[in-house]
Amino acid sequence: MKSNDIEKRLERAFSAAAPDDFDSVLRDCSEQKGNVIVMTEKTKTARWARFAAAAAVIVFMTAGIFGAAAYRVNYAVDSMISLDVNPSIQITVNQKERVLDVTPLNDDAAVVTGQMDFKGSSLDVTVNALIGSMLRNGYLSDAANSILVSVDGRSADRNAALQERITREIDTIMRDDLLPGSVLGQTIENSDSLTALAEEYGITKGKAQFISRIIDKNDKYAFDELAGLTVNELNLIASSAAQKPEEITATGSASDKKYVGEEAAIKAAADHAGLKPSEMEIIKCEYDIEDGVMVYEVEFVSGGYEYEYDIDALTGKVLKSDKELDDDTQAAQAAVQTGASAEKPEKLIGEAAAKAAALGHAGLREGDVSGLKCRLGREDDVMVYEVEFVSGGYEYEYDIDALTGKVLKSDKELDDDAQTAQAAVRTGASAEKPEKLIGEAAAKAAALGHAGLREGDVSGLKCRLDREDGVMVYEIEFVSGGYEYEYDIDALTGKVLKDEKELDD
Amino acid sequence: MLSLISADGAAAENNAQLDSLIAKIALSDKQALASLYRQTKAPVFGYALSVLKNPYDAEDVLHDCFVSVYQAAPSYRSMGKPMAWIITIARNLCMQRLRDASRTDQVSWEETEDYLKANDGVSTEDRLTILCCLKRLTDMERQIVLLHAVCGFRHREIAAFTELPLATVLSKYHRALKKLREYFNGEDGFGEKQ
Repeated sequence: MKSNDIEKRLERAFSAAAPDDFDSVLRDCSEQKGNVIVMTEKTKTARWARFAAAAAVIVFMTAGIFGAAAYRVNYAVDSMISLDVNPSIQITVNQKERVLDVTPLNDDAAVVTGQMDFKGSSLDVTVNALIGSMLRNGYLSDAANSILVSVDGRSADRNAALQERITREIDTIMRDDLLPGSVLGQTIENSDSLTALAEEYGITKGKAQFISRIIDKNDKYAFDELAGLTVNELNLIASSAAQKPEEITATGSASDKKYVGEEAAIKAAADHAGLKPSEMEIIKCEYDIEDGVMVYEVEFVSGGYEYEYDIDALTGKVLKSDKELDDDTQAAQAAVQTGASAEKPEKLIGEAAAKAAALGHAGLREGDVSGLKCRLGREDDVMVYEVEFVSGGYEYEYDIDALTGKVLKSDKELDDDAQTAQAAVRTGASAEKPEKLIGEAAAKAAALGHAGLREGDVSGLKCRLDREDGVMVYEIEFVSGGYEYEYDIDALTGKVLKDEKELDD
Repeated sequence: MLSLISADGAAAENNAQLDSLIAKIALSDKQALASLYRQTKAPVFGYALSVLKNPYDAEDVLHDCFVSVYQAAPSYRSMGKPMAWIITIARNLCMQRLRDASRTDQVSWEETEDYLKANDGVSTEDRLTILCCLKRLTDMERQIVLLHAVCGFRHREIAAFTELPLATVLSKYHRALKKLREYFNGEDGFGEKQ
């Protein structure tokens, strides 16, 4: 069954299942007829009043506490303040701390800023309104209470003062809302690499710096792995390993209410391993990130084996389990190879034998394959070697019984990696071409036919094999009669998937 | 209907059309709201169901989403991504619901099955397809598949929407399709696991 067919089937199913009850929508819209916009404004003001009042109190307080210092240094520089929760918002202010612009940097942020216009407002009022909106929209809640404040300006002293003030202010607002927050504060150290990272991942410089600092402390993480996390998740990871970067100030601690908790994670691992907690010596249990998913990484020793589990932090489900002989036991086993050991762990066939079994099943030799990986794991309570490799445009996956060498599972599918496919086609060397492509000539003909042109009529004709949404396509470009044409032609069927024609400039 | 989103040119055209509907809705045009509802109820309902795993809640989100669309349309600024806007509204409604409900508050598979059976428009194949999605895929896999296959998001748009790295989105997507394929083919290919 092709991917396309599966997608169509899904679309069909959900389209059929979607109820058709527009009348009820209409009813609820009509009830507010005419003053829809006013209504939203109204609710906004009502809810706002609370924050406005809080803001007034805080402005008053800060004027008292920070007033003297503020007058000396605060009007010297323009600054940029970013707030990251999951929504990322950037605020720029002038020397008098009047807001020049508030920029929502992602969809969530756009929800937070809504229709509010901050131009000319004071920074404090703006921060208050934004935090209020985040609370109202549920981006800050008792399940995700972390917010990162980053200040970027010309003077380090001024940055530090501003950062301290804003973090304290946000902390107070959240306290007023009976939500103990974890407010992280930092000043931005300007560097080109940071700017580049922020641009590449579409995040604020502040978040990029926070992530870089976490990685500095713990190099097992990769930047792109962390870039997609919310600040609460980053905060949890940073504090879980007890290596919060010192350059960052923090109040409170990150909420873990969303997650099942360490105890439940250990229990899930114990259940899966068929052990009682009393039989286990826990080495560690901490937050980690796997494939963009928050997990508890649980490690323990029991009965001469070392266990490693990844437990989905949201659901408590076992995502990965690994059991292997403890190093000590292994040594002991080697020592008493001849003698009768009391509890002899079963004998594994070894990686080499597992690879051989998989390759044998596939009818390939080691020289024919690339990316050969072999890992000891556990599938349905059976110790298996998971063997993976790529060959001839296909991905192979095997589970080999670690004790008997029997093939328990085998899987062969078209390699989905566009690069591999492209590279294979480019060199033209692939012995067994995965599926039959129509070829460049046919693709060009299809595009030209669609445009009603002959090859002689066009210039700059380019054709490139690519992958779009999992479909192999020929991308074709040419110029004719003052127009630029762009086509995507299905590389298997020759169908025109995309056509664009625009004035050549 | 929304399958036309899969081709780029058609997608742009479709987006422009949705944009113009939203512009009309901003002027309280109920007719335009009805058109938008018809065209996008499947993605909204499908997305909500994929997140909430409860068809009754998904139905409520569908309703609330379009009431919100009607109210928020005046503030909509087109960035050529009307679907992303609508689905973002749906996501916020889903998040609210997840926060309000206790974590264990889940509807049983039987109830979901009965819900689908009660709808004459849903064929047996449709029903099994949806149940398979709900049962066999992880939450994230299901969302990603739905966003792509039913909402017409491109993978990089899904990456931006879910704030996951593109590589993660792709690998989850392929894993999910593999699971679905195995199920639809009725067996695990060759060499069924012991």
